[in-house]
Amino acid sequence: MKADGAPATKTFSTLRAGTVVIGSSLAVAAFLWAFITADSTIAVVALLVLLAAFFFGLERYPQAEAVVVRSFAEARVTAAIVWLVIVLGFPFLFGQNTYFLHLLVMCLIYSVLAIALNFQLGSANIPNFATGATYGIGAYCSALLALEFGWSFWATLPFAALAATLFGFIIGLPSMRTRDAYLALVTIACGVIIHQLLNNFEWTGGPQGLIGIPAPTLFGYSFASPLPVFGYTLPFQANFYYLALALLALSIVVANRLHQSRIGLAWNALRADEIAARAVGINVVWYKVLAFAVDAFLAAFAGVVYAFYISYIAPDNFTFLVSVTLMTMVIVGGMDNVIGVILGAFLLTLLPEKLRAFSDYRLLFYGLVVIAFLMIRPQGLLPQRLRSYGA
Amino acid sequence: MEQIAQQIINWLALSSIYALLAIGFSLLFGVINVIQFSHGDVALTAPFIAMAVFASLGALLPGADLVVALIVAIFVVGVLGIVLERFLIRRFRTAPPMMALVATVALGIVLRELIRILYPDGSNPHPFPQLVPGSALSFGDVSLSWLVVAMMAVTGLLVAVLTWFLYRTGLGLRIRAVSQDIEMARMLAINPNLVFRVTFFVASVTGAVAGLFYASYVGLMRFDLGIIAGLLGFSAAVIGGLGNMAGAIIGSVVLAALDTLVQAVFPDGAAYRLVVAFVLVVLVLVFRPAGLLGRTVVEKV
Amino acid sequence: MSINRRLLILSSIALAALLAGPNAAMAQDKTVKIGFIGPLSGGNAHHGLAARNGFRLAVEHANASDLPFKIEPVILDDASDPPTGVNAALKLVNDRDVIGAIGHWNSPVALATTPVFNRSRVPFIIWGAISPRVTAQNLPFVTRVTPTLIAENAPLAETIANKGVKNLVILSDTSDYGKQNTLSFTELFEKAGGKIVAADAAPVGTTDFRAILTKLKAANAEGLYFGGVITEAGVVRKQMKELGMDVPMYGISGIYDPKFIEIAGDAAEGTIVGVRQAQDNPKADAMTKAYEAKKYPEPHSHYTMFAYDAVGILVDAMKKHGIDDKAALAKAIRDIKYDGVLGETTFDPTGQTQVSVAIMLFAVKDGKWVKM
Repeated sequence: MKADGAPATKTFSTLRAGTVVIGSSLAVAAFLWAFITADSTIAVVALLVLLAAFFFGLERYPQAEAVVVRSFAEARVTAAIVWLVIVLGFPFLFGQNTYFLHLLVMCLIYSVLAIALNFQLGSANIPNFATGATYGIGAYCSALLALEFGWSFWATLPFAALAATLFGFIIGLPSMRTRDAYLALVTIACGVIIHQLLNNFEWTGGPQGLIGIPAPTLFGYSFASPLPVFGYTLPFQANFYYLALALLALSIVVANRLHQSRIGLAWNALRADEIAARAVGINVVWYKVLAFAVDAFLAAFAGVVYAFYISYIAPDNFTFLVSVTLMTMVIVGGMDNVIGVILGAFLLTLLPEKLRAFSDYRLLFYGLVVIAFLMIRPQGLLPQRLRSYGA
Repeated sequence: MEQIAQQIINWLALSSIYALLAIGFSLLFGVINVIQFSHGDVALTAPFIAMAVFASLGALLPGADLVVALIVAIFVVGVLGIVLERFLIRRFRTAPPMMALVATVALGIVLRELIRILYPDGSNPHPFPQLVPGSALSFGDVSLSWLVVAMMAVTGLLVAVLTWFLYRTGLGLRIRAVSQDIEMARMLAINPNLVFRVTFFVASVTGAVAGLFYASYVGLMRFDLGIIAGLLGFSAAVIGGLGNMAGAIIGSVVLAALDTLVQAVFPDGAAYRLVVAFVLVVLVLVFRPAGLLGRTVVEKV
Repeated sequence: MSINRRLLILSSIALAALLAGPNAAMAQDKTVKIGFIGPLSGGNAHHGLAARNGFRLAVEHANASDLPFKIEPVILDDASDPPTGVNAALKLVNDRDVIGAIGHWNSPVALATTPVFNRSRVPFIIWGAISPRVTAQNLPFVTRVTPTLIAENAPLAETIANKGVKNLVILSDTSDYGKQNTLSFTELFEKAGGKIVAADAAPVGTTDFRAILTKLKAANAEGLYFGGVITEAGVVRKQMKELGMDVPMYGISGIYDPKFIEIAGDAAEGTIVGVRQAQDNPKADAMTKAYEAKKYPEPHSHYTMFAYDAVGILVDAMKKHGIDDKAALAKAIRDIKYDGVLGETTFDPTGQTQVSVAIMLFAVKDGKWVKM
């Protein structure tokens, strides 16, 4: 993402835009690769310092950011091709290392969840601490359908999403009567209730959860088998990488379409001033509940992919702390900025792994990092951008 | 009959612990407008501080009383509250509510892990002494320990003192002024930062007393007890109506009643304690958002 | 803002200095690694740390003995969280030098990671997680040295019934372990002529049992069987006394620990447990001495012994069958007859340790566990 610091001139050649796009995209990919594979603590710290320096520079020289943004706008086709190549080819960089691939899959799943949460937190400023629960409902629903009735992954997907969306509607309904801190409390309560019930019921497997969820198959090809591509074999995790990638792409498309639609505008209006929004005729309740439903829908998809990927789920996967982590991802990345949210998800998924050198102090450092971040940069790494219309 | 009498005693004992915790949550929200989600963890540092002070006092002056250690612990937790307010919570006072929530949840993690790492063998549970030993009353199968009597007496006393403080002193008046309208209070030359500091001190001290009673009542201290104590105290405060002391007490009594009832009536009911508490929280928030005793807030445009 | 930035830079430098510190352990000629995973932070850290110390001790002892290779320990935290556990497991199996690993106290974490080890063909021995479902899957690369201990209930139930005790109440936790104990003890005790008059369960981590105990007390039983683990047992015993429930408490090795007496205090007197005989063993005494000499900040528990023997079994198999063929190594572990601190360990066809069923009764007298 190292853009040259030249000011944006009026004569912005396509060639130059293309170079900036390719250069910055490759730099991002290289950084991600280096961060995932970094093993020694010195390398991790060096990379974090580099990242901090980058954001420091970005704030210092906003024109550099403008160049990159403008280049991407100019060279849309180049950007699309470059990113397609990067995301499709990324697993090949890790060879047979399943640990790195696994981290990547988890980053993608958390990105989807963070984008889901962003519809409420970022767009409409509705605090929702129950995304962990909708994620869990999606996972449990699909796992139960697969284990009890032998349904396939693809068949359970819509039903899990439906169930979670219904739940989203249910926890969204109180938003008619409550807001801000009180609404946050309702969602916390719902999250805790779902976690406790998953723990208590016999048919959800109790605290020990559900084991042996079968891997998805597609036209007789099992996702649990290694993936052959042009005579090169990728570990089975690559299947789920591409599956999660497709889901993330879907989420990004949905997020963008919604952001640009009347719904996105209505959400932003809600965020700015709820009473004013109501005054201009926006059906506040409907849009609030809709935000919960969209969140639940995408979170359930993520839950289904997770359940079939790990092949085992337990209530402990879906605790209140998961919801808080997702919240942190959105805040750290930058609310209502899809790229920022994805960045936040990647950073907060990888960071605990990179903190392993601290051993017993891992959780302590994680807590400290979150607090420090909220204090130093509460607007997030990539703050929300103004809407721009026309060319 | 005897069983019912005993359960009533259990209920009252729980009520007083929940009430002390809920008052803190309520006070903090009422004045600073922040949900201090780690209040339970702050409160549950008190038993650890007390035992650490007691152990080191024993080395310095043999024969030092546990009471000294308890007083020191309560005071230290109060100061901890002031420190947290100054360096952390104050920054989130005007931020969106979820920022403060996330920050205080993270703070809870930090506090728990600090106890675990700093206290000798802090990962393991440790016994905590019964602060007031002996049984006050033993009638047939019913037993009432002095500890429970002391807990209820101290809770009553603290509530009385707090009420007097809030409604009969100048500082209390200023606290209520800030809680109602901070801008107006500022215009009347009230220093809101002082008010925040005092509020945090008072809430943390009340929490510390609750923490000491809690540890003593269950006979155990463990670094992660703050989670459950926080969740229950917080539910009680919400049920009664945040920002309302009488509400916090009523909420605690209701919550403790349900808590005891669920366990006493249903087999394996203990697993559903949190479910019941939080279903009640949701119902109250939806149908009486200001809590059982709260006043309705009129939107200022 | 600029002060904050300076702070950020300063703190990142400090962080760098801190991180650069414990970065030793360079490669030697023939170094292999064995891994440890367990809860080292969060609510169950005390179990994980006690086992981690046992793991370290065993690796040190193995390195001091005559081995054709040197062992480097790799220690990872699972924080009792299944996804974190899976991350740790994948980190281990992707390290070519890792020959085998031991791990997990939480059954949900073990259930999530065992398929990873099995798929990657890395031998894995469980030192803590007790859910029967872990070995019920019979994954060839997974074994468990922790007995599910249900067997300990049989002699206990008979002894109690033979003493003329007719009515008991049961209190257990809601985990698989607690449920299994309740089921097996009820069946055995009723077969021996006794009767369970009431039973209840509470989740692990419950601290106030008064409402439940008040209810159980009303059943007027002659004793209480506790089917859970140490901390809760200590608290229950203490609160029983407070409520004037002057009846004995019975249990199995899940509560046989000095920590139980520490937590229950004076109330611990009159607690009776059935424990398998092998816990009385000179090797175990030697390990305890070595542990105490190390002055670890955490006290040892029975998980220390399980982790210690898990390493012993792994190293023994590595010594005899080499480290190249992991499938053979996994098979060697299953076929082993290992004499360690737990006594003689052999595995059944599903990889579950087979305990000798000779059980002894212990009771608390004057603040100590005493053989009856």
